[in-house]
Amino acid sequence: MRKTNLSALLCALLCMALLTAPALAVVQAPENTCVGDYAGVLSDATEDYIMTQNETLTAATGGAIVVVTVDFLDGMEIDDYAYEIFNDWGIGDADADNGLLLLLAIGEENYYALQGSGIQNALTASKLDDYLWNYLESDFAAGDYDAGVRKVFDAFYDWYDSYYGGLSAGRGQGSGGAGNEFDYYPEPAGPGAVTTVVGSIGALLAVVAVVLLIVVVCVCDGMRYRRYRRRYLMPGMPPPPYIYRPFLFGRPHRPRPPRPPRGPGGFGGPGRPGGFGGGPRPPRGGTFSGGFGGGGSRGGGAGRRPGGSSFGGGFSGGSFGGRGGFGGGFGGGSRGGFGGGGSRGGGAGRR
Amino acid sequence: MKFLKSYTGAMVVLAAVIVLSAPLGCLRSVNAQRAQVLELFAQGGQGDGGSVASDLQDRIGTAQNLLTVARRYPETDGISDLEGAIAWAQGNADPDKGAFPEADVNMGAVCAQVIAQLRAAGVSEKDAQYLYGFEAELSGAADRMSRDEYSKAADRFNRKVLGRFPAVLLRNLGAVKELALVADVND
Repeated sequence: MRKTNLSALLCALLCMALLTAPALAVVQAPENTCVGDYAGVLSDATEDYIMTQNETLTAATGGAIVVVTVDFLDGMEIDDYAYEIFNDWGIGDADADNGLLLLLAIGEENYYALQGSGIQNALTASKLDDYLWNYLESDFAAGDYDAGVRKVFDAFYDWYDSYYGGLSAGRGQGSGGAGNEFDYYPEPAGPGAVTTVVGSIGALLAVVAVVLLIVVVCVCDGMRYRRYRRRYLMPGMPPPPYIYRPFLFGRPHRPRPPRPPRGPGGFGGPGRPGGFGGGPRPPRGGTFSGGFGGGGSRGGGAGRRPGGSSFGGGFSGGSFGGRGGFGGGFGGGSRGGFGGGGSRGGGAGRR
Repeated sequence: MKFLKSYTGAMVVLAAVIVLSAPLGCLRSVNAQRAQVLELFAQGGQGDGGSVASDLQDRIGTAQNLLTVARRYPETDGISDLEGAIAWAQGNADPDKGAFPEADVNMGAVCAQVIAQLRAAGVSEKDAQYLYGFEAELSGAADRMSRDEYSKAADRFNRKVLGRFPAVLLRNLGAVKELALVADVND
């Protein structure tokens, strides 16, 4: 009964571990474009320029400089808004994480730039801040958003050019400045949830197996002793040919020597006046005959491994005067046009 | 010794082993889980070299740079506070020392205070640009720390592992400590 319950519990635990899956982000990005001008402040020429430059940049490095303009942020903080766009759209190369996002919130009179985690040591937040201040701020404050975006985009593009040692040279490692270790960090193959649960269950099973083994050995010992006693230790049996030695616990059983015959004259015999000699010995204690139920170790709990974050699909605003300002909003479906890079946050915004 | 060689003694020994193995096994499992979360703190979870530990060091480095600039203006009041805040943050960079979030938040607050003091007192144009850079670096690193997977993993560990039987007994006995969480910059 106990074994049946334990098996059922183990099966249930394994099923839970296998069915556990991290939640996935479900958002839709614009197709084949590096510009999302949802506020309508950029000219067609600027948009074409940005797309053309990004084609060269992506072909050479996998990176991308994405420009997004919106009117409002639907109550979100601009850094959170930028963070969600960056990671949901997967800006930049998936391995190198070398994308860059420039977000302008026109109605909120704010802007923010966010770099991929692969270049955050080279293009630091303070550098981003400098670029934004020097190339975007004056035009942004004057309302000439198109000119400001053009200037800061060129500045960012030049940074990529110097970092990668010339964008026309093809894809290669970064070369500019300090802290530009352009190493790829493959995801560490850590143990998954299943391995963790199985590992803990394995330890528990090992403990139970050891206990069961000891119990089985003791039971077998008892059976051996009973057989030995039936064969050699019953009254009238000849002396046993060997001494019984238990496997684990207990002492070797040495057969008792035969009692000396009682002499005439009752207790004590000749030369032993009085006293108490002889008489029946009390019987020995009963033998151990198994039946050790034992208990299993409860072991330690195993925590669930942290899953991926979920950004949900209900994010559908950002454009003044209507929803769906992202040309499809944040609904379902696969993302397109971007390389899959990510950011850990930590960009720079308007002073 | 005779008792230990008897069957009763054997049963007593076996029972003691089983009773001891439960908390020992639990302690081992909980410590293994804790080590996994601490590895997230040191190495990060995305495999890109970024982690709470590296961001914390970035903030400390930026604070030290701010101290360098502040020392050019000796009349600034908060210099000694900033030195103390940096030392406290450096001494508590280990997540096993539960004071690291408080030390980090304190350092950020003192840095903001010193920056405000320097601006009010008036600094050179070059130093003014540096101050903007320091602000951006400090807030950027804090933003990354607050978004890191470590805090979620530590919170899960504290609630779902240490908060449940039998690990909660180990926590109450002081055998296993809770993990400190990174303070959210948006709070």
